[in-house]
Amino acid sequence: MLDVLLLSRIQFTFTAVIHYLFVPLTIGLAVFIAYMEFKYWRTSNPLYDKMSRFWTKLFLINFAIGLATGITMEFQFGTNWAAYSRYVGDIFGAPLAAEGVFAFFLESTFIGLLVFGRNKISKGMRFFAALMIAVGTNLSAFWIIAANSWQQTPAGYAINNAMNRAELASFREAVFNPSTMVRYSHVVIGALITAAIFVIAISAYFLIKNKNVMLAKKSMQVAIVIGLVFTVLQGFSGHTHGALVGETQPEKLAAYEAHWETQERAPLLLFAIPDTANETNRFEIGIPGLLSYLTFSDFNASVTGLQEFAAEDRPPVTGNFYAFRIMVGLGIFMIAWMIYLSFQLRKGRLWDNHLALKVSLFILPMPFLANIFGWIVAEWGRQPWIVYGLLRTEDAVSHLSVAEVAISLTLFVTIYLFLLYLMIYLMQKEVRKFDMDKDIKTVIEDDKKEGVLG
Amino acid sequence: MIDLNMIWFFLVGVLIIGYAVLDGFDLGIGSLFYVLGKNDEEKKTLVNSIGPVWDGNEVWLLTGAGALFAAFPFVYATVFSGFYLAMMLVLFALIFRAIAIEYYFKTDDDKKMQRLMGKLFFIGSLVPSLLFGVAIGNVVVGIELDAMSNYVGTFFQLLNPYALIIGVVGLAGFLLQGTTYTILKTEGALQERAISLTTLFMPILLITWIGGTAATQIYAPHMFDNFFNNWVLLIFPFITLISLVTIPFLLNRKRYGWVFISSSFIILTKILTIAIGLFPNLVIATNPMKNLTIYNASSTDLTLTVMLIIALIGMPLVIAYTAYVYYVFRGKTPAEREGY
Ligand code: HDD
Ligand code: HEM
Ligand code: HEM
Repeated sequence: MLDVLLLSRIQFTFTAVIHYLFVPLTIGLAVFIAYMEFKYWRTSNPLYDKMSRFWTKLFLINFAIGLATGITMEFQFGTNWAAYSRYVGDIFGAPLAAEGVFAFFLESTFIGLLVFGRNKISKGMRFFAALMIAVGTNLSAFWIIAANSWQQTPAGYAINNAMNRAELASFREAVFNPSTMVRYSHVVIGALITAAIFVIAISAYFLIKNKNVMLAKKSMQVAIVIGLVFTVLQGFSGHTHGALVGETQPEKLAAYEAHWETQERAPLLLFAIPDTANETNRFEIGIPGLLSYLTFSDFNASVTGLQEFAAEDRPPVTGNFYAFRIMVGLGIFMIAWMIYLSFQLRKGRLWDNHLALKVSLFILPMPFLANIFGWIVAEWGRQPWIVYGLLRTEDAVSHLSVAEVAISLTLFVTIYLFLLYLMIYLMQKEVRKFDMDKDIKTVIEDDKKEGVLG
Repeated sequence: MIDLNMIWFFLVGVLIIGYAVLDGFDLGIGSLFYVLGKNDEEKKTLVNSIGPVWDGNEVWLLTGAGALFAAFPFVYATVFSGFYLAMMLVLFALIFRAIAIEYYFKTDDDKKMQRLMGKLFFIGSLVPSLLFGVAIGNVVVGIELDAMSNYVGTFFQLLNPYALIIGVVGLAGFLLQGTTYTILKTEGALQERAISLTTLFMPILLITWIGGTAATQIYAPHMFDNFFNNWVLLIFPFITLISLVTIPFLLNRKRYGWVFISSSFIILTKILTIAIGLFPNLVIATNPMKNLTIYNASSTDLTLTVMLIIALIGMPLVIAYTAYVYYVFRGKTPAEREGY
């Protein structure tokens, strides 16, 4: 049956997933652009100017939708999760407001400056603007992750029963709760990987088409280095993250590992078909002891199974199990691919290796999917709680009618699909028509006029 | 005695005022997109005139919502869920507007698409311009709340006569803000048009404002209590009036900067007047026992203190670099977009 709770959950999931298709690229690409502006400022090599301008075009198309879909998220806590807002407002509101004050103002104001003010400000100022955008988007991620992490591992609070809410006891403990930093680094690394693969894919497209070759090669070199470093780091970060989940949210770990019975020398399942009704797996291939080792650095440690938890406190197993394997699988593949590309690059064979370039273009969706499935694991694995151990999702929803949420959900789906279409249409148009030689002349002329270039 | 709750009442007010004054001209320009912009080039000039700053302006709203959530979570929860469909309309409008402004120049080589962006810009500006006032009207006149402070009325009850009147007063203020900003940023025929529209909107705003005040006397007389207890406060509506009537004189003398400042003062004092009337309530309920006030709807003192520190560190920085960016973009706006 479609009730307000289920519809609100579908709506939140849908809007959050779409928002997060754009977020990582914004965060990661902002760092790339700041780097290019830095190089241009220091070297005055017009190629860097060209690169920065091109990637900023794509950045903007992406940013617009990240922004538009972000407003939805900010409103939705109040519109659909009013009971939740009352319960956590004393704690949760502050990071959200801080995000506005410290991050959104910064990124939005300096994007205006960088995009419209190119000919009005010096090269140094341009770099500063780009840097502020990168800082702003990363700060934005920090505050929202701090808020979200508090829902996963609440800390620094006290429950006020008379008011029926959680109240702040220590801001520092609430913001730097046990999972904030681990989760923040995982998310930012994920964002850098996303931008790296995006840059690699678009550059590969240019190389295949034999267009804008200089720009594509330079961009790709930078992106491969960043991609290699951060895909490998993400493996370590994810491992730390998993170990932390085992400690702080054992039923989540058990759910995404489909680990039913508490056992020593717990195996890491490579593949299985979880069977929730019978609390077992119908088929499984695993490596004995590895789960114990990854979680507790000890092959013989005992890992708590789902059966230790009351049925109504267990997260859904099948979805989490597959979502987690998809994220990790994609992560491992991307590590391998980055290592391969780096070798090709070092041997000087990459530019003629059309197969490698084609595959690089083809894997563009991978980081986006890894990010989304990561969030599915994090949020679905927290169910049935909206605030872990304190408030259940079913008690968090607003007092609304089914018709109201059905209407809004329908409109969200319609509008967001239109936004996606628009974004893809503009992106591919911008990439197809882009001609760096044509553009670079106007840049140099502009700069001469402005006296920036001698 | 001034306490933290009062300070936050004031600060949320500052954020709302900052939003209404700054995004006010974006909304006004969008609502008048087809009235002000007669040809391709004029339309582009209009979009360009707000291009670098509109997103920063909108963040005042986002931060205002965040601050409301943090300082008065019960108000945030009641209003946002209570006005559900109206909020969704505002939200969709803001989404459309964001996309339209950002993509207007990106669709330059596809006129059909660009026309669509123009329409979205118009609708996305007009709808919130009207609905912000309607929301304030409802909060002021009183809404029906249950024991858990959930709104129990319907969407159409929100469109009551009083709320609609306040909606129109709000809209008129945004339109004036839009034309006075356009005067500053444009030249030639477009500027002429903005000037004559300003001359037109001034009396309209005056009439609707007086009408709104009269309607408040009828529908929401409690809004006058604080003024009767303290006559000095009448200075604020008085400033609204003065600012309004000086606009024609300033226009005549071509003091366009001052015209814009007058218009901004109208918005500022209009909101202050409402805030004073409401104080210490934030949401009026049909049953006054259920009013949400700055005390029964607030966060703890610790949270309010932490937030105050955040605001004191953050907002001066925001104001400094916002002022810098406005300074960089001072002067007239060209029709073509530079750079990217
Ligand atoms: C890991 C990072 C991250 C996460 C988890 C979220 N966001 Fe986001 N958000 C960003 C990172 C970000 C960003 C990088 O700062 C964006 C993305 C694209 C953009 O334009 O800025 C953004 C934009 C953005 C905006 C528009 C800002 C503007 O006008 O410039 C709002 C209001 C929100 N977000 C609010 C939210 C809320 C309430 C979330 C929780 C459900 C959320 N975001 C999840
Ligand atoms: C501070 C930020 C966040 C908060 C407060 C939050 C809170 C919530 C809430 C209220 C729900 C609905 C309850 C439910 O469906 O079970 C939910 C579900 C979900 N959220 Fe988050 N979320 C946050 C960030 C995100 C982000 C950025 C994503 C990125 C994609 C995300 C992904 C999801 C997903 C996939 C679900 C669905 C879980 C399900 O199927 O029920 N969340 N979260
Ligand atoms: C390489 C192996 C990886 C491992 C072992 C790993 C591990 C994890 C774990 C355990 C979680 C769950 C966190 C929770 O429940 O709260 C998680 C979440 C997440 N993962 Fe991964 N991950 C890996 C790769 C990646 C990659 C490549 C990306 C994206 C490019 C990514 C993006 C995310 C995101 C966005 C989340 C949700 C936010 C969070 O909780 O941090 N992960 N990851």
